[in-house]
Amino acid sequence: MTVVLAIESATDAAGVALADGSGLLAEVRVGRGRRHAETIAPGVEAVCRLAGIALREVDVVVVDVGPGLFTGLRVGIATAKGIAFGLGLPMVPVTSLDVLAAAVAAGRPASRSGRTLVAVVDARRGEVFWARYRLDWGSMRPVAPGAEAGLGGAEAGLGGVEAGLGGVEAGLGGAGARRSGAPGSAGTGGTSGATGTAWDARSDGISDIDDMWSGAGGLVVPVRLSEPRASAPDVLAAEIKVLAGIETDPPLVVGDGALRYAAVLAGTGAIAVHGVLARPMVDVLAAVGVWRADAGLVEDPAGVDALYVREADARINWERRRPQRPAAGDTGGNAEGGSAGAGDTEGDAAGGAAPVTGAVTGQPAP
Amino acid sequence: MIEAAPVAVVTTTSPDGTRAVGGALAAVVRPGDIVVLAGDLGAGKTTFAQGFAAALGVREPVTSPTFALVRPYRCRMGGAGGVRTILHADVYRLDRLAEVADLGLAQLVEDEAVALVEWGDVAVPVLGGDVLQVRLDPGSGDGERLVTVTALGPGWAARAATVRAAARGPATGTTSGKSGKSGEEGQ
Ligand SMILES: Nc1ncnc2c1ncn2[C@@H]1O[C@H](COP(=O)(O)OP(=O)(O)O)[C@@H](O)[C@H]1O
Ligand SMILES: [Mg+2]
Repeated sequence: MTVVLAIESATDAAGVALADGSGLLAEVRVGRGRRHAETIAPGVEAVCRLAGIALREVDVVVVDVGPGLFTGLRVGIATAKGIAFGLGLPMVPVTSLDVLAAAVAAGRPASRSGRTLVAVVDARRGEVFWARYRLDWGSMRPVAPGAEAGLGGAEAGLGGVEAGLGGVEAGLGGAGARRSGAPGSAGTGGTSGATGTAWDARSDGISDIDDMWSGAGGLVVPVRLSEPRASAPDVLAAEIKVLAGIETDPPLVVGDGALRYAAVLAGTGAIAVHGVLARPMVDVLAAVGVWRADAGLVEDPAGVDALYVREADARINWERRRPQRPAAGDTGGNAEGGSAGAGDTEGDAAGGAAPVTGAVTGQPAP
Repeated sequence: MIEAAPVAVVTTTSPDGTRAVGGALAAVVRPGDIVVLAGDLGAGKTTFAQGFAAALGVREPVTSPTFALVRPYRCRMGGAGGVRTILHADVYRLDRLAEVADLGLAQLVEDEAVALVEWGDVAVPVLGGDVLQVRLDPGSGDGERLVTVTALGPGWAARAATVRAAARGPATGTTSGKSGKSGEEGQ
């Protein structure tokens, strides 16, 4: 059975997991705090120790390639590639948005397949990275209509009370149900639609938790409909509003970007998935990795790189600018400003706090 | 590079004059801001950064971060905006925009910081959102520099009037009084 090592570092949280076709073996997660450098390498050791698996028993290295926090991604991707190169292993690169979407899909009641989901990662400085998904039924088995109604009702109720974005989505607990063996537990659907109900709702006979982990028995899966993009939240809001206008069910939004810009997205008619799923989770990354590795979707580590979304693949066009010292004696224009500055010699300590030119601090690069 | 009309153009006649403009513009920055410094080697980008940092209460000497890529300076007087750290970066040695993105400046400035990025004009697409561009060009006389300040992006465009006022009056624009000593003839 394929053993995957998964490394997650796309947001301010970080995680490492070991999993195989039967499910999670071990994981280490650190929330917020951007402690990627301190978390990931020790995390790899820890999950191996906890799972009783040697690193050389790993078959595939799975890594979140963003988009997201590039300081963290640099650490996570470098570590993942280092291990893959060192052990001669193939890799599965997964975008952060796919991981977010997979977590939501994993928790979707079957009745909700076909629904639009927008995964939104905070790009900082007033932008978000996002992509649009349709939550679809992986192996297209119909479910009992009665079960659908129950779950749908729970969700509509919550969404209605909370009005749009504030709403807590029912059925999210399915992600947990997947591992807690929820099939077989019954009768919780009426209360909250949370843990347990998503899978209970299914009448097509999934009872083996291995099926649910591997997807062999059919799952709601996210189908990405757009390439990851960077835009201002209000641009995204306008797009979601259009979607909300044409779809029967309100679109779902998930991710730390959706949380941060909840106020901007509130008027779109979208419903925000609970914040517990707002950051890509390493066990979900591992699960996606298992699916893709088993489907043969592996890559050579040499080609794995962060997904920058913006035009970052380009080389900097230095030719036009890289320079000689400025030659004095061209323009003398003074378009609109006044003239500042007097003919002091450089490097004096004006005001006491001024720098001493030529001093070398010798601080190392961070 | 994005083309936009300059918000202000100021002529300086000495390194301290350029420091004074830096100090004046330091008074308008807020945490999360990124200022890109454009201009050839020796144009005065680091000199500008020195005045900028001094105005926010940085006491260490500010030198070119070319080899360190990003160097943080603690601000003792962050001004009204509450800037606690200046991240002084230089992307001159980088070859790919991805490497600039890897510096993570867009995220780092979230920690009550501002970034000053020498040569940052080549990397505006990956710095995300808005940046203020300060370009330094040689003027007609020895020791003269043209400082051209341009708002690239809607956020800075909205702050254009404040930026213009600060750039035009460096002696009065500083919050700290620790720089701009030579800028009194600014207006
Ligand atoms: N008006 C002026 N403004 C800034 N620097 C000036 C000026 N006049 C002369 N200089 C000199 O130009 C050089 C600018 O160097 P520096 O600030 O390190 O440039 P950069 O960082 O753009 O490469 C310094 O030696 C400085 O003394
Ligand atoms: Mg310099």
